[in-house]
Amino acid sequence: MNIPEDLKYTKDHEWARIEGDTAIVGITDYAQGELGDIIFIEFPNVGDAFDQGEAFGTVEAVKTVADLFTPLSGQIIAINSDLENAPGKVNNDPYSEGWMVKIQISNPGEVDQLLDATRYKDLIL
Amino acid sequence: MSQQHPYIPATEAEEQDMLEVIGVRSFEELIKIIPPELRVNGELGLDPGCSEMEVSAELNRLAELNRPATTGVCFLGGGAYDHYTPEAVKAIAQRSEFYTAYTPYQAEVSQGTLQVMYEFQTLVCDLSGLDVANASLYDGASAAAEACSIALGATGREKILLPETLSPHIRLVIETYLQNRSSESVFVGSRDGRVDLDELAAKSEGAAGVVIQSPNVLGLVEDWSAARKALATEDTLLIAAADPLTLGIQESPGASGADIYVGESQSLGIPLSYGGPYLGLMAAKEKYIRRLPGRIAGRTVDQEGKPGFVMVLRTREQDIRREKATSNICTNQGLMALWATIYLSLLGKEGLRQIARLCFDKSQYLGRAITQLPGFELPFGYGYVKEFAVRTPVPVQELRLRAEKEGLFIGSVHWKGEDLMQLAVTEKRTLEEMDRLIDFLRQVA
Repeated sequence: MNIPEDLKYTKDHEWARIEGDTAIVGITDYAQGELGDIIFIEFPNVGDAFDQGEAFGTVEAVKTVADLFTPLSGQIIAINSDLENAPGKVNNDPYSEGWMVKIQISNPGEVDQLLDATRYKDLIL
Repeated sequence: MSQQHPYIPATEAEEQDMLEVIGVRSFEELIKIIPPELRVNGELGLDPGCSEMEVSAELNRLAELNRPATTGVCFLGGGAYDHYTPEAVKAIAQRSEFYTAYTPYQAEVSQGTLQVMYEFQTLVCDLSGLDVANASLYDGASAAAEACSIALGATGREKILLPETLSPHIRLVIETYLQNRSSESVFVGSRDGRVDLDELAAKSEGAAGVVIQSPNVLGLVEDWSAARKALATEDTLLIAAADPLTLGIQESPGASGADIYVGESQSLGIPLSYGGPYLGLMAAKEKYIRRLPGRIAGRTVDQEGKPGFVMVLRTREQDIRREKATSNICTNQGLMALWATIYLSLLGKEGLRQIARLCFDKSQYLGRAITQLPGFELPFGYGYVKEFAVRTPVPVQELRLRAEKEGLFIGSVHWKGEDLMQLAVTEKRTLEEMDRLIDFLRQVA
């Protein structure tokens, strides 16, 4: 199980890479493994704003569909449109090529509420 | 309850057993929660039972009161038309391997069914000029309503524009579909029997979609391209509703800038039969493929590279998405889709065009002949394909009853407080039949 040390995590199995006032968001290696082959991701529009914990899209696997919850409040400033044609990148490389959205963080205080790698590991193992 | 009834198999002893299992002593105790004043006191007043022979005779008597289209000359339209069904279509569709085909969940036993769906979808794409089609829906009106759902989902907006020139039964189905979701249907008026494009432009700001039917409720061809241009925002979906037969001589929805095509396909040789089963078509631009309701068949290859057919993009709907489903339709109108596929395959592109052309030419003949009669006029001119509205000197309802006695079935359409005669002319109508109608109208005027 790959749980990089430098990322933040949610109980809903999203990860966030904090870079200044933006966050890059995806789903964890554990989540992609549980879902199985991912065949579609429904993205929000760039410019949409969400509160922490709100669903911003869905991820669709062969046998199920799951909501994607935003780890942090903010506005969507980019989506990984490569995944529209190659959603399998989430399975192969969840933390790099499989990133999903970039968020302009509106409430930096929320970052502290996220789990670090150790606590996320405790949650899933 | 004590008297043994020939059609109710439970005996008194069995009833007593059931009551004991439930834990009550009598039927009276079972229903004691129902207040006495709400109960029927006394006998139900049912007639004694009839024998099978008596029931059969009574049903036959009632059936003979009907006047099926075949007992006269049918000029009725309004969404269902008396087109010809080639015998070959019936013969092929009723082959047992099609008629009793296994529902397509287990691909290995339903390749034929899936192949028909795939071919049907291909034909619908060809007809509509759009990229992708589903394997059909129940009827044209439910297809239109599903298309509105797609527009609401795709845009995240709540406004659907429903022009006055849309057939009322399509509008009603759309409104019924949408009444329990946050959406608002907005009326768009008309000018000379067609959608008022200025009003459309003015009301289209922030709209999820608009449904433009062509030919419309009056049989007139609408201008989809002009409607597309009139829409204030580019991302408002243009939903083009059309009789697939008239697409034989109309510009295709795809070429006119439509995002979704929907249509009632009864025109493709499906017999009139008291309103069903009919067949709904739906095609869309590729970007909406994941929002299409119902079934979609795809073509693929197996491990050995042999071609095969499968259901594709299925997670999107009810089976798996449940509360996230964009529609609760899981199936398609399989047998009627097969029927239309055979009809279109036998006719070919040229055949379809010819039939549409025959409808057009014959209906133009009848329309022009009627305007020669004193007191009759076509208030909207000749811009129709097979169906048109006529203003009559005698009230239409009276005309209908008198015509029926002569074996002539004519229709009516209610338009802005006025009842107009509505006539549909299919390829089946002969010159002699049309002249009979003209003679009849001349006499009553």
